[in-house]
Amino acid sequence: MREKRWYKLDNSAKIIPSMTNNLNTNVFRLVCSLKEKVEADKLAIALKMTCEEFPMFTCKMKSGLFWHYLETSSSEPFVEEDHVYPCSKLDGDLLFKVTYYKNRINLDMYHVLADGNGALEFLKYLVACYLDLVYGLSHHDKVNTASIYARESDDFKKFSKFGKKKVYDKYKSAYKLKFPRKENTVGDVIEVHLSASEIKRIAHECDCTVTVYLTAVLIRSIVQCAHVGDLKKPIGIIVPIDLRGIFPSQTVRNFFYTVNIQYEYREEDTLLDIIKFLKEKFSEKFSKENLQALLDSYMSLEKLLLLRIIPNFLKDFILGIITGFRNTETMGFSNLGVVEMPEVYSDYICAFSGVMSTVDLHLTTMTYNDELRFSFMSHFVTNEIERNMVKFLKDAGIEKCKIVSNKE
Amino acid sequence: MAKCNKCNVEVDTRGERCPLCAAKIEKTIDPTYPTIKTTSTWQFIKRIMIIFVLCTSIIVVFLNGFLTPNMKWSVFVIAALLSMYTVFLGIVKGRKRILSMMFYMSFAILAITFIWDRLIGYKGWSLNYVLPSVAIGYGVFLLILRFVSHFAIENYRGYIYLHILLEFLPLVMYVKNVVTFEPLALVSACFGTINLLVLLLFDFSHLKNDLGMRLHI
Ligand SMILES: [Zn+2]
Repeated sequence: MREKRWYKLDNSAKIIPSMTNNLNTNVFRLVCSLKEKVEADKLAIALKMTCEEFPMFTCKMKSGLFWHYLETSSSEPFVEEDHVYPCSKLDGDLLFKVTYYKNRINLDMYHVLADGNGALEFLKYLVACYLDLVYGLSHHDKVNTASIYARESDDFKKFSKFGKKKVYDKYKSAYKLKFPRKENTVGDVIEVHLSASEIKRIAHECDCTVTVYLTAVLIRSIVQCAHVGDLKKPIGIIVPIDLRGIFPSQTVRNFFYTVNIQYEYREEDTLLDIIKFLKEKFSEKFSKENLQALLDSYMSLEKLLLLRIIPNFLKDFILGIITGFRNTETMGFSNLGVVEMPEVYSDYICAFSGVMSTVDLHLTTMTYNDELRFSFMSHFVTNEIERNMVKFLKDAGIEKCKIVSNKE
Repeated sequence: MAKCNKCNVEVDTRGERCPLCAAKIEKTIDPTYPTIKTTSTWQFIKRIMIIFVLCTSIIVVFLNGFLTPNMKWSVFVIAALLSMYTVFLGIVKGRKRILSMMFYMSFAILAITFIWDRLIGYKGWSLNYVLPSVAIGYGVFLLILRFVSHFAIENYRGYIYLHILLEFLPLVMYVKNVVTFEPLALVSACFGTINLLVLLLFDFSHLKNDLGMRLHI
C-alpha cells in the first residue's frame, strides 16, 4: 500500500482539464525505440522500480470544490502490448500508461501530470532500469540524480517573484489550416527519421540553430499549402519553452510555458528572411526577463481571489469556452531537444521520439545521438505540410530520410 | 523496405499508400505500428441498447395512439425503458470502481423511483420507504466493506461523508413533515450515527487532510 498524498495542480496543469476533449485528449506519447524486442516481464519489473522513484506519477486526478487535484491512486501501474492509438484518452485511474510493441517502449501521459521533459525523465529511468535488468548492467541510478522531493516540487511557485513587470501579449487571429478533416477523432502519426548531424550541418550553413531552422522550414511549408488570400492573417506557431533551461529546476512536473510566434507573410521572403525573423523573435521571447515576467503574470492570475472561488465545474466550463474561442495559433511545434543517457545504453537504444495530441496538427521533435525524429500528429486527411517539409529537407541535401506512420 | 518513388523516401506504414502523397506503394511486411481494433464490445452493446430503447419507444407510442388514444400508458413504458438504460449506463461507467458505482446507482434508483412516484399520482412511497432503505442498505454495505473485507476504504472517504448525510435525510424530512413513516427514518438515522461514530473513531485524523484536499482554494 502506497503512502497516500495529494498535490495541488501546478500553474500550467490547472487549465488543462478544461481543454481536454475527444479530439485533443492532452495526452502525449514518448517513445523509446530499442535495438531489440521488448521483454514484457522485465519491463513490468522496471516499471515498478521506476514508480517507486517517481511516486507523484502514480496519482489520479480528482475534482475538489474549487480546483482539481492529484491524489495517490491505489491502482497498480502495469505494462501491456500497445493496442490503442497514440495519445488516446487514458482509461482507468492512472494518468499515464506504459505499453510496448516490438522494439518500442511507449509512455502515454496526461499533460496534467507532467510536461514532455518531465515525462522524459520518467521514461529514461524506466528504460535504464529495463536495460539494466535485461543486459545485467547497473547504471540506472545515474539517469536522474535529483531527490524525490526536488522531482515533485511545483517550480512555478518556487521561481515566481511576483514582480511588477507583467506581460499579457496581444496576438492577432492567426491563419487556420484548411485541409479536409478525418471522420474519426483519432489523429494519424507520421514520423520522419533524419540524421541529426545532417540537419545540424544545414542549419549551420544558414547560421542558426536546428530549432530555428526547422521552425523556418515548417513555416515555409505552411505558406506553400495556403491560399494566398488567407495569408493576410499571420501564421502562429505555438512553441512550448522548457523553463528548466532558464531556471535551475529538477522538477518532473509541468514547468513550461508556451510562446506564440506569429509570422506575417511577405511574398518576397526567402527562407533566410524567415530565419532572420525567427532568430530575433526567439531571442526576444525566450530571454530570461521575458520568461520571468510571463511566470509572474500567470502566477498572479492564479492568485486572483475572484477566479479562485468559482466552483470547479464552472471554472472548467468557462475556461473551456474561452480556450475554444482562442484563434491565435496555426499549429504547435515542440522541440524536446537532445536526450542524454549514460553512454553504455547507446548500444541498446536506437532513438527517442514523441508525439502530442492536438486539434489540428502538431509537430514534436526529439534527438538522441545522431537520430533526429520528428513526429506529426494530424487530424487531416491529406498531409501536405508534412510532404512539403520532407521535400524541402530532401532538396536541401538531406540523404537519410525514412517515413514511419500508423496510417491505414 | 517499401519505398515511395514520388517522395523519394523509405516508408514503413500499415496501409498500401504513401503517408505523404498517397501514391500506391508496396505493403510494409512488418510495420512498426500495430493494427488497432476500433470499437470495443461495450460500445457495441451500448449502441444495441440505444437502438432497442428507441425502437421500442416508437412502437409503443404508435400502438398507444392507435389502440387506446385516451390512455397515456406509453409514458410509463418509456419511463421504464429509460430507467433500465440509466441503470445499465451506471454499470458500464462504474464497472471498475464498485463504491462509486454503488453510490451513483443509489442516487439513480432514488431519482427514478421519485419520478415514478410522481407519475402514478404522488403517494410518497419513494421518500417513505425507498430512500431510507437505500440509505440503510448502502450503510450496511459500507460497514461490511470496512470490517469484513480488506477493502481500501480510504479511497472512498468522500462517499462516506456524503452517505452519512443521506442517512440522516429521512429523519430531517420526517421532522419537516415531508415523510410520514417514522420507523425506517429512525433506523436510517441510527445507521447514520453508527457510520459517523466509526468515521470519528477510525478516520478523524484524516478529516482535516480530506477537507483541505477537497476545499483548497
Ligand atoms: Zn509519397
